[in-house]
Amino acid sequence: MAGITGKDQVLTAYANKLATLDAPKGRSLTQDAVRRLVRNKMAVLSIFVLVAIVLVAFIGPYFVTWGYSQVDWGQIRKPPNFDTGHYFGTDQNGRDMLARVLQGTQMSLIVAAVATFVSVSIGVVYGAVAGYFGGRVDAIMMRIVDIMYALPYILFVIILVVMFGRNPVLLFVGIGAIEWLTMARIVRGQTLSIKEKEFVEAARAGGAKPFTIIMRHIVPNLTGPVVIYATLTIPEIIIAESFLSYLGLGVQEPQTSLGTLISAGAPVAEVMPWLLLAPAVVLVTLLFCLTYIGDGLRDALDPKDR
Amino acid sequence: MLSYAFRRVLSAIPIALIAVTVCFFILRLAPGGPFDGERALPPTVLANLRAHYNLDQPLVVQYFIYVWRLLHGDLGPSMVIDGFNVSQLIAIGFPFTLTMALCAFVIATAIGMLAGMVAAVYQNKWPDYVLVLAVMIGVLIPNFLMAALLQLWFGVYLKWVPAGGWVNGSLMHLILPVTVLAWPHAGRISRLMRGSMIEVLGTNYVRTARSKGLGERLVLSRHAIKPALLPVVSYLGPGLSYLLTGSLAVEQIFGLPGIGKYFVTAALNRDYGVVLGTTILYMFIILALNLIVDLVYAWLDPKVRYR
Amino acid sequence: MTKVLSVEDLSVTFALHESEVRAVNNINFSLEAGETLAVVGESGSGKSQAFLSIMGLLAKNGRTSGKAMMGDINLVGMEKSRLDRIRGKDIAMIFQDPMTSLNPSLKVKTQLSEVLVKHRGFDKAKAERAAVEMLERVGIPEPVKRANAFPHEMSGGMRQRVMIAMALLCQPKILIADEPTTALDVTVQAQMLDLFKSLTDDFGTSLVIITHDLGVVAGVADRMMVMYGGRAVEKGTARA
Repeated sequence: MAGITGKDQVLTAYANKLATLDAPKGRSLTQDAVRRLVRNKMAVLSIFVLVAIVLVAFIGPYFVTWGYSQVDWGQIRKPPNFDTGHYFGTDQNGRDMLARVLQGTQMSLIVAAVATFVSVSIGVVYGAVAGYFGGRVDAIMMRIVDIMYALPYILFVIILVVMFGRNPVLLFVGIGAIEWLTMARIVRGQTLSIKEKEFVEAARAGGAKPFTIIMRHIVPNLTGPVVIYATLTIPEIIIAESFLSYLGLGVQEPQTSLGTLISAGAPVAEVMPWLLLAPAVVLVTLLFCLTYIGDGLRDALDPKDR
Repeated sequence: MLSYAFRRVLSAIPIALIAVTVCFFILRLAPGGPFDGERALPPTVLANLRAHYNLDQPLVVQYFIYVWRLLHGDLGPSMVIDGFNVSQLIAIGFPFTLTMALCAFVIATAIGMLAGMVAAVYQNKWPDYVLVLAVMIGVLIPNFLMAALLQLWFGVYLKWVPAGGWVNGSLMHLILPVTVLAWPHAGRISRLMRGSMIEVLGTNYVRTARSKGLGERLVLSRHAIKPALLPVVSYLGPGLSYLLTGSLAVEQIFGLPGIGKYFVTAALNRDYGVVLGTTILYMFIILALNLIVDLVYAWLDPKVRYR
Repeated sequence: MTKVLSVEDLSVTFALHESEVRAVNNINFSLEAGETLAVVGESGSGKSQAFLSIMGLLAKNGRTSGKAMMGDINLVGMEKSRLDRIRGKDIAMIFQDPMTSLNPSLKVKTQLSEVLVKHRGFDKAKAERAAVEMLERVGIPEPVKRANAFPHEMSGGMRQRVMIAMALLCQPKILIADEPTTALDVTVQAQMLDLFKSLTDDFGTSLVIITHDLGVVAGVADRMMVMYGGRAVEKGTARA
């Protein structure tokens, strides 16, 4: 859900700082940023945990005896039990919860990655074009962004779901396609200031085409906002995805996602708490890690007091 | 101030019109219709139904019919729920949604501002750390998970409040939904308030106020709070609209009789009338809220009025 | 001549991530009643921080040691609530940037009158009348209208006059002016210095002018102190 984690404000503040301060001199941006990021203990820990979660989600299934849709008829509704090999217990259909949580995590991560990629790409291109051409083109393009801001986001998502039906990948291309507004605004602002710089003028004087200038000279200077935006967008999409799945509009059985698992676990949590807790813990850990990483990156790339 | 307000109202009108158009066409260009249900209808019945709802006309004609009706305050009929028009459905569901969202809004804004101020004044001391954690929990845990955990703990284990459902006029039934709805909002408000308060406390004019020996309490209450409210105020509009749309979900989770119930069903059944009507309602609310925020902003920051 | 302020071994340090920076290093000086002292130094020499520390206005990571005696009261390390009874009344400060040093959301008269309400116990109406009088005295035309204006409706020179009026409302013993003319047009600078001189003479206030511009101090200062790298490297009379 747009802005649910307050990322718009975080990012706008960051962009304002970028606009008011001159580019740092001396050490390269990445070198400096990495050094600062490493000093942030919470962020480093979060990166390790996140990498661990990603590895386990994608490699883990090969080591789990049970498939995510495989039914163990002798073990239905069983709590976690090491003797039967169901470390996270089984659900009402006798499916292994560990396998299902792994598959769900995988699905949530893929969906988030796809949607984030889509939204960042659209945002960067749209913003860069608006900012580069300026004038009337810019005015019209930004007016469109203003109008889209006024549309109720979640209703839009639900309408999209109805449009694209049950195809999760298409669905999240759709979600990504309406997440890009803030990104576009920031990229536009950045482009407006960058295009006045001497090196862009030099390129233009050398006969470079607008597209080349945008891709070669403007986009690389947007690394900071893009990286921060992406890390903050991933948790947002994961939340949006799990929410849609919760409403029954997302990923469909027998495939699953963290949201689907939670929605299946919530009504029976009283009698079978493991069905809710396992996916919930993974989801919350994932979200916290991504947020700490995003915050850490923001501080590391902060143009102030460098 | 008055002419500023007038200009702002005027500039909102074209945005509203364009937004209505966008919604209409996106929804109508999507594949499927309200009458491709599970059992196929006989062709003549289908044709009659389509004619009744003007669905047989060209899309552009339908659009103008819709806008014409809209200008008269008529949101058209529901195509799935027999005998109800959209305005009636909204009249049944929306007051509940609005009440709940407003409750959550008032509570969360008050708590959020206070907590943000406290955290800013005690920056990097324990009240600040406690608040940051509470904000993280509220903002990051999705509302349906928070709802499930709270239901389990306070509803099922402790039995302090009902876990769900609705008994008319029962405040106890509203405690959990309002908490779930309000927590993230309070979190975002307090985070904004903390940030802007810290910034204001570092400004030259607060230093001037301190140099005058006013005492920290007066420095805070007279010199720091008003300017620190600016970013918070500009968030209140979007904040309330998040609460209104967020309450669609919370209603669904707790089984409450708001407009959320109709909306989700309508979207699944392609009930154009209801989906479009609800979307337009929300859009107008969001536009109106932005307008109000701009006006409050102009009052708080006298510079804005002259732009 | 009586001493109104005597500073002994004043040091200011700032705690950074893992290190400490010493901005002011053991400076000693005193200020006589009614005189004008110019503190000159390049930017970063610690001249502003020295006086901010005396006023208790350092940033949170700043630490002060040494003594700053006003009579028999030491301002360094004083409790904030006690300090608040002195600053604004007996010792006042004017800051470098008049554009940002006034609160943008409060009317000028509010920002002036609150000083009198706090330190002199005036009621609001009386304090506002006194504020308007003071505005007239610092040379603001139409003082009643200006008192009801917001800071952003005034020019830089006008705002600096408001700052001066605010600082002098309680007729303090000491007025510290931190680069009071730097942000102003050259034409206004001379007027402002004359204003300082005449007002502090009228009230018998000792004036400290902090500046990096020797031209500013040549005409007005009785004595000066040169700071470099946090130390007071030279002292002397201005006309030597």
